[in-house]
Amino acid sequence: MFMMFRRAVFGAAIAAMTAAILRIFGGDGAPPQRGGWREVDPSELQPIKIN
Amino acid sequence: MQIAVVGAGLVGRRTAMALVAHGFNNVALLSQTREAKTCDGVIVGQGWPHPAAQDAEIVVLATESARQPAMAIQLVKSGIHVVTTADNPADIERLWALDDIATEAGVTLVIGAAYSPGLSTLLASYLVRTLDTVDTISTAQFGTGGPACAHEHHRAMGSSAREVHEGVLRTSRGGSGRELVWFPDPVGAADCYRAGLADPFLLHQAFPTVRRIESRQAATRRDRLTSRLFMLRPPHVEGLLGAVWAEVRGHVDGRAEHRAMAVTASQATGAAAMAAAFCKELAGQLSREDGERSIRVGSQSAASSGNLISLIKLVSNDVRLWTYDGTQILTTSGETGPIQAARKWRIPGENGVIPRLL
Repeated sequence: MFMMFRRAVFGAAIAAMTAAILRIFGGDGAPPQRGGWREVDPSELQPIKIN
Repeated sequence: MQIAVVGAGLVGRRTAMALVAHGFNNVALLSQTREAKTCDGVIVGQGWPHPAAQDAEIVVLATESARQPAMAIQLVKSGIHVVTTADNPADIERLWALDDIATEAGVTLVIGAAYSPGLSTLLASYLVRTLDTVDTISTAQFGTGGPACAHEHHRAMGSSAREVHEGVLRTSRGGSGRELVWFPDPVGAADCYRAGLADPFLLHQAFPTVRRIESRQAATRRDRLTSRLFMLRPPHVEGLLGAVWAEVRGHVDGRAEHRAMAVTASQATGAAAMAAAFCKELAGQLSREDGERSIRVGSQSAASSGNLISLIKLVSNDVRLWTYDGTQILTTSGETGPIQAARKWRIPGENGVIPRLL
């Protein structure tokens, strides 16, 4: 019983450490703050060359 | 100038109304099956040929896709410019094969002047011409117009897809190749699949050197599951939400670039705007004395048109036009400059430098 308790505590500790590492060193998780769909007027379109 | 619209469904009626809005005062709307409902500023009638449209110089075919090739042959041989709204790939290829007849008759046969093909190929064609070289063209569509369009959407999902791979048209299984496409609001994100669509064929005719051209349509799980059965319930009178999306990937000044644009509008309104825009362009050319033509004689499509900006301006009266402003990523080498990405990328920090993956 004590052995099982030790294993559970050990497992929880490993999981907590992994989560902490990912939380600290992982990506910020925030989506890009710039960019996205923008409604345009045709007069804003870049001139093009027709072959 | 007289313009006749044959087919008085949603697209036909809206095309007639768009033509009146463009300033045409001699527009005839002819139904194939029943007396067309009255429409302000439009002469309505039934059947073709019809005395009210005997002087028509341009005819818009807004009937079911399958009926359009046979009518187009007769009209082209009679020396009448034709704008077709067919969207079935087999019908589009049949219409494209009329190039020699149309060229010999000295008339323009516009093919796929609808939503997709039409608006989608117009946006893709514009984007292609903003890059130096292009590797991939992708288009996607969301929604349906009237009942005939809904039947076509159903058929497309259950039939083989045509796409360009390594510069060659090939067949793929419809309903495969799921891709999450982000359309502008109010449509948002939608799963899109390969389907029997005409965009790759028309874009391949205009850009034969592009290695990969693919087109997808939005569908639900039920759409995919039932696509090979008959339609389980009658289609809606009109699908009110619609969008097309076009993305190209290639190079500008030696650096990789990909750009995306979209249109949102109900499919019937968008298709009508495209057909009416072609009529306006053709009418302008016919009345011009210098004979200069941006839409040449023979088989033409939105992808091969020489006056894309003008067409985009004309359709933008009826649809909403969007561009994707991507986030910038600086490369470590510096000399290649930033990549303008048309998809969302993670940025390590404002103007952060990330390793260049080659």
